[in-house]
Amino acid sequence: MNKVKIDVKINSIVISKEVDANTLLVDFLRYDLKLTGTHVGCDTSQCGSCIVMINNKCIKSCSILLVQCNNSIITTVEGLGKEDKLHKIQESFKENHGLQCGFCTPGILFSALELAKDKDIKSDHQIRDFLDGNLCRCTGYHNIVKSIKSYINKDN
Amino acid sequence: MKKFKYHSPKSLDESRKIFMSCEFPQYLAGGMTLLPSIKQGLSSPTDLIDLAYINDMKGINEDNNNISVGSLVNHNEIAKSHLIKKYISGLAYLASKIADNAVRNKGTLGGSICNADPAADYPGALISLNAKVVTNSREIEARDFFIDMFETILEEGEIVTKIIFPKANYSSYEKFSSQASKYAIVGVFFSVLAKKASIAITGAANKAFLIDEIEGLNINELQNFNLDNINFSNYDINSDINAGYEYRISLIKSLIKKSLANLHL
Repeated sequence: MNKVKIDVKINSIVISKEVDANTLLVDFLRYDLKLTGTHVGCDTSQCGSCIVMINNKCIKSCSILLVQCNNSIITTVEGLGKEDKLHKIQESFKENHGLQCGFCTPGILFSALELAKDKDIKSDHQIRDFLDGNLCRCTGYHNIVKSIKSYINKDN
Repeated sequence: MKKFKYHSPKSLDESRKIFMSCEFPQYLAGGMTLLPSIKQGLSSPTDLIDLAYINDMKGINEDNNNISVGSLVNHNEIAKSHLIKKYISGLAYLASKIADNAVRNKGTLGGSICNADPAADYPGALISLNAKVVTNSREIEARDFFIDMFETILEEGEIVTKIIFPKANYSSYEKFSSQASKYAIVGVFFSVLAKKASIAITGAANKAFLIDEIEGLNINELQNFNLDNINFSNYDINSDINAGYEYRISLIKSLIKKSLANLHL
């Protein structure tokens, strides 16, 4: 196996290093960078817990190689807000009880941010349809939808 | 995860050369099927050849009669493309119903058709629309492209670069999908080209197939067509955990009915 040189920007930090070709993005985030806010739920591309933003698009970090992210800008939940200054989407989830155990939340926050950019998505049904790739085992979907609607309304 | 060597060629020629020099190489497009397959040990390439740096395989373009879609174009790009929405709206809708948003941001048209999953959405669209598959060495009729389950007519090392779709008079897609995977249990692609109808079914056999009895009918003939005249024993309809033989046939009929009921030209 070969080592591959990559340049990425993760949460505004520039990283330039040689990595094993078979490193998954999620493993690099969790084991090398200790950014454990990105979760591995199913590990089979179904649950959406590992979703991060790559160049402003939601991507499942368990199903992409780090080398495929070369020259990309990546945002994980750690780069979204700080404990003392949450991102607006995180505030909306806090205010609307949009999470229980919190395991699926990082992935759902990113899906919410991407869907909020689509001005055609307005109804509960459309929000639920968009969230198809995010599973919440606490089944807290009502409040997740409520949180997202509150964010969309605040944002506008 | 199993070890492999990674290559990132900048041209089609270089990609093919690397492919021919490796023991068990695989091309990597979006990786939405390939990477989970490698993780599960279903695929064990010695070399992964990432096609992401080849610009010839990107972009959506139009000429007078056709829309050409680069094989590296992802599902969300197809779903949101103004050109595709305008001229082949059924294809845009189909792409919007593949898997989920995060998969649609990465999975590609070329990757999907080369994988030739019998329950994938695109094959029905390609054969109904009579699309052409362009590779690094030739142009293939989509109707000749799919051979069997996970099998295409592609030769060793051949690379699909784009798919050429004709602008359609009308197109639509109806799918009854597995709730977990969103793969089609039955998918019906309906198109009207030069005023002739074509209906292709995906998910219901080893590969997508055309309904011969409907092929080439004009709209009047189609509206008077009795679905009981379709001889399903000719189509090798499958039966599995998602749907038995008779249930699948019933799904095909109801989705065709739905497609015809929604027809507006």
